[in-house]
Amino acid sequence: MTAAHDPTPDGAAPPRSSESERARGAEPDRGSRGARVGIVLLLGFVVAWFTWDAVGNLVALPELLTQLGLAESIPWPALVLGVAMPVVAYAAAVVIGARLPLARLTLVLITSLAAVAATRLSLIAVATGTLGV
Amino acid sequence: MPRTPSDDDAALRWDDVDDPSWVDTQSGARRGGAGIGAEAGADGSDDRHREIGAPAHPSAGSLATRLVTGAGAVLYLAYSIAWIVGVGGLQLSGPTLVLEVVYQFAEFLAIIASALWFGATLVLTAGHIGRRAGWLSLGALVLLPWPFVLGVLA
Repeated sequence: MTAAHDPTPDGAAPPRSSESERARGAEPDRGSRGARVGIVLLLGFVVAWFTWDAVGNLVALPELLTQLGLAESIPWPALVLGVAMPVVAYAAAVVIGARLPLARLTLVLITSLAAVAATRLSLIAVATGTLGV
Repeated sequence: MPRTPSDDDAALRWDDVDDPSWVDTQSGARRGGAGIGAEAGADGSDDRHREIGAPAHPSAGSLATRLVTGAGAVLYLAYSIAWIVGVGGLQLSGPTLVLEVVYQFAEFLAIIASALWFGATLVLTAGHIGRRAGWLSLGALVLLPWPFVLGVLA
């Protein structure tokens, strides 16, 4: 917005725009740094559980299927995606919410957790469907 | 229409624009329906003109925003229903009580995911039609209710 009337040369434009974005984020309702980090860590426990659950599946399911003689139908993509997806989604949410006020940061984080929960069930449904169980 | 007069002397005056029999030359035709909206006597005429003017000249941007938001609302409502049905069909249960509670919580999160994504997109993309359409499209892909879709296909 402000860049349109900015008389500075092109080389100086990127730092100015990032500076203005930081200034826009610095509003009174940003919350203390401790509160922001606390929210990220608190909701991070849920992400940690999702990851732990997915790692458990990644370890246990191939073992079980191999014992049953179904080693060819191990759903590797779903298992690997299940481990990576919660961490990637939550990290993206933290990056997006970093410049937002505390309430909106919390909204973004909770939305990412809900999306992770939905995607986890989708992966389970797809993996189970390909097994034909 | 139940209507309580603002003061005891209201019936003794002729200047009450809330009176259904009061006819305005410009907007008399819609007095019957819009009477609830115009509460105050003096401000009533201004409110009426604003009500008439607002939908008559919507800018192209606001109309597009409304279309995108409306389409998103319908789609995400359908997603929410599909998730409720789809999660009901999944037979997931934890081996212990604690795990069972966590699994149930995760299913609850999955059910509210569509509504949360829609709400968060609306809040965070106010005034940016392109961003709103983009985030709603991304959510439509990410939150595709596979448990429901596979249940229907099976």
